Amino acid sequence: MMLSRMKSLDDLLDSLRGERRLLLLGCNGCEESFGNAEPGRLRRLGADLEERGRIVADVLVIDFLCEELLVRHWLPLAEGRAEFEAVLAVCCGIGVQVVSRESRRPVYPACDTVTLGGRVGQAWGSEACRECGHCILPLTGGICPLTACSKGLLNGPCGGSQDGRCEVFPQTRECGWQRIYERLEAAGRKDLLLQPPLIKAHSRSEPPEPLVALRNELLAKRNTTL
Amino acid sequence: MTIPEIVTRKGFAVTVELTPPKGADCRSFLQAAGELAPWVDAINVTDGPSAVMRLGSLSLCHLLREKGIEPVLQLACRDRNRIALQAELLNASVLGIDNVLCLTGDHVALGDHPDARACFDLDSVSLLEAVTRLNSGTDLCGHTLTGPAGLCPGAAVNPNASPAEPQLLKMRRKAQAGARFFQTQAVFEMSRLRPFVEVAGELKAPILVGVLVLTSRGSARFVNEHVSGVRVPERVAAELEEAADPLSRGIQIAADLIREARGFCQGVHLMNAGPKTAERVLRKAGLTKGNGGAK
Repeated sequence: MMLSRMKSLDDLLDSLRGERRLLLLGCNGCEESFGNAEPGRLRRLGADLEERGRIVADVLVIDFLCEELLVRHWLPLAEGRAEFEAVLAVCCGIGVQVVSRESRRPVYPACDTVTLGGRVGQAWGSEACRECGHCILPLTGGICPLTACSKGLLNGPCGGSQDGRCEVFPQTRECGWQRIYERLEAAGRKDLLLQPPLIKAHSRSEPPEPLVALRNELLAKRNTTL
Repeated sequence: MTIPEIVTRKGFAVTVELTPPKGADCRSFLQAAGELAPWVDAINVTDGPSAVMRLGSLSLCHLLREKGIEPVLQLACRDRNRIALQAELLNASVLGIDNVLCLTGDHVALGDHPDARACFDLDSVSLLEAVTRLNSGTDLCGHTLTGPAGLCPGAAVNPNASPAEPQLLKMRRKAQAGARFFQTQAVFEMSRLRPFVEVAGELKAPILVGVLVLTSRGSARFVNEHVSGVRVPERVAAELEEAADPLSRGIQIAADLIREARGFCQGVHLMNAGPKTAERVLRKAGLTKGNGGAK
């Protein structure tokens, strides 16, 4: 079970900046059970956004946004039937990054992922999402520098990468910041690379008590049925 | 004296990088520093370079200051969280150290303690922000200090990065966060340096070009294989390998780079140069004794 909390409407609007026409993309995988992307919630989120001057061009729900093949198959459906500038994804950090890879348009997270807590759809582990509770994907082209950069640097590349390879693990890793740079350049958003210093709020990576309690309850249930 | 003040006063600053010993006996470090001092304006003391555990930078900077030598404290984010980094900056300020070079630091995987936990709580940009805030009398969380720090923050840039633009953008970001001078990674092709000098000019921050002295036949290959972020061109590596006296050839290469740099940058930052080598390089580059030789 993964746990996340919706970003506040003000935070969402802040990260969306000039993007007006949106595709609201929900995940029907494990997130569904937590309610963020259940149809009523999505409708309410859409209405809130429209009240604040955004246009929800379409709403699409896909099973497991963490699944590349499913996203690749279903996303063009929305792209074919509506005009939108950006995607607002109601899912975990892995889902946002998968949709970012598959979408030509910028993708913004609607949630902060607090914990992946075990199995996440078909994707395991934290190699893509560090569950930090302070999602910065809107600022980094939908690629997480905490996981994509060996040093987890938040404010730009170190000086060591060569030809797009990581200086620490050149055989196995690309330079995460090179990927972020290329993506922001393609999106015309290199201004994001000149922001004030980003300093991580590590306190936010601790799940709030009610979520911890719920996770423990769910894990206990699974143990008894296994 | 801060690096920008040195540049303002003399036009061209000379700094040299010295690496602390691996152990508590620092006599040879201090001797080398003493011999280098007449030739340079300041000595950078590295902080766990290449992620190798060594004597720290702060104690040696303090000892240099006591001898009347201007130190540049190098501070890396790899080994300390934001609390320890801010405390170290206050330590430096209390000890009267003026210059601090704010670095991210090499990854632990490259060093001699590969199983260590890498911290990177802050990075070079947010460390510069920390210095700026401490100088203004508050910490990173906005709490008031009993007195502000008085540090001149500097930053590193790597002109060898390919492509260069992400580095140039980060250079601007560092200046926005407070960097008041730049020292570059070792450069062998001045054409790579020029866009960085242009940006430094726009930012009104002096830039000191990194010049690494190659001292032996195989040193170019060693640097290419083991030193992160530096690339010695094939032409230079071949020159060294074919030279009858590789040390003299390496000194000539470094001196030529400095002569070229004097035309368009505000200083040079020597690397891998002990006192004798540094003296030969600087003489050949037309600099004279008496703090870098700038007029």
